[in-house]
Amino acid sequence: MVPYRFRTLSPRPRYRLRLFIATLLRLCFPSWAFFDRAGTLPELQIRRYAVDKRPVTWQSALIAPARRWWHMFSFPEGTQVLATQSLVERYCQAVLDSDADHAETVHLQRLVEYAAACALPAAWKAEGQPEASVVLRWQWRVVLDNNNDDVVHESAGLPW
Amino acid sequence: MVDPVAFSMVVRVMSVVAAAAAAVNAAELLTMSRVLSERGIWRPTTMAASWGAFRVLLSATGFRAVLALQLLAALGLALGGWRGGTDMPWVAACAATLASITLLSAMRFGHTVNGGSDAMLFTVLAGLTLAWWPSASSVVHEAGVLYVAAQLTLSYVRAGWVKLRERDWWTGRALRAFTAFPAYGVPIGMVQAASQHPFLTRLIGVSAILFELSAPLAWWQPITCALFITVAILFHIGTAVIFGLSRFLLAWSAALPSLWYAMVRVA
Repeated sequence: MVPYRFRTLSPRPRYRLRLFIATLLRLCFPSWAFFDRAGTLPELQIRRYAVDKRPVTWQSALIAPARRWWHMFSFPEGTQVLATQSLVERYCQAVLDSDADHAETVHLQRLVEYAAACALPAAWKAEGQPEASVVLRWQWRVVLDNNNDDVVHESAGLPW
Repeated sequence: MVDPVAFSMVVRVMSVVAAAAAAVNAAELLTMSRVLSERGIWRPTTMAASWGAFRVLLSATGFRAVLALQLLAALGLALGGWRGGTDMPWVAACAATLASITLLSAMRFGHTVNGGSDAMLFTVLAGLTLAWWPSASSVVHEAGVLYVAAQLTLSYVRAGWVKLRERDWWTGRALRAFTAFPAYGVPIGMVQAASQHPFLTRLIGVSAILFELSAPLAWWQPITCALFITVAILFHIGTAVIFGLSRFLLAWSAALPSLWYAMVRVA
């Protein structure tokens, strides 16, 4: 299987101390506003194109695996899904915010596309597709979960 | 007036729980190495442009070494908390190291690893660094614990306030939407129960708002403080079981004892 590589966006400009200062401020002065916007959580979805070149149904890319009781203390797979969901939320916010830094939006889009690409093998497996290599094209999009028609961004058909 | 017995007990409990939280975080990140590799999401070649002077520490090999150091420092903080005592600069060094690594981990992900839980653990570790600081005055030591108590109270009040202003939290719709969201992996039985019993989601939503807004009462007197801490632990166990927010359980459990000292100091 050829590893997916991001091909379409330009490289991110270099920032030196900006990340350090921004992260430090974020940790020192957090917003603490948890679960504030119900019904507007962005959802990352993916779909593949069938052999006859027609796209199949969109499906969620980020699905937390089933939990057992001991996972309330540590759950790496769940933490990974939540970290990726947080990335999708930041990307969505950047796309919807007209004042957002373009370079930052491009960088986030690149990471979200990586996240979608990383979710593909599991999604194919769930669909009963044993050979990922037979899928030649795929797509990703971000929608607001209160309305599947509310598409924040939809990628073009991407080669695998 | 400083209460040395209450202060010592609170700092020791906070240290042991914060050490456990930091160790679990390090172990989780070590097992998540695939998403931090060149075939993952947060690929070094993509992220490195913003690392600047931290490039060596955040590289694949460097970051594994940082996480190994995190496990060692967590062990040191746990030992210091377990033994107790004063004038132990190595415990303050362990807490400061863990706070710095929490910052580095957040930088590795370009933002935070797990949102508010990173911020709360960082707050606790920064507070513990002050509380264990050798040869400092009692004011500095106390300031560390009271800073954690203030941020903790603010975290509940702010979270409650934003829910208070959302009509969907009063109708139960918000909780139904969150339970149905696939990234939280809520057990299917609970999703069905939430959709079939709107009264239940409404009751839980309103209870969450009232609980979060009642946080300042914990500063008032021993009974309200003990009651709030007990309900808070059950609340975080609930969010860990239902929404998989396991990092929040340990981070907030490490911070909760600070409320007891704040109550002793204020009451």
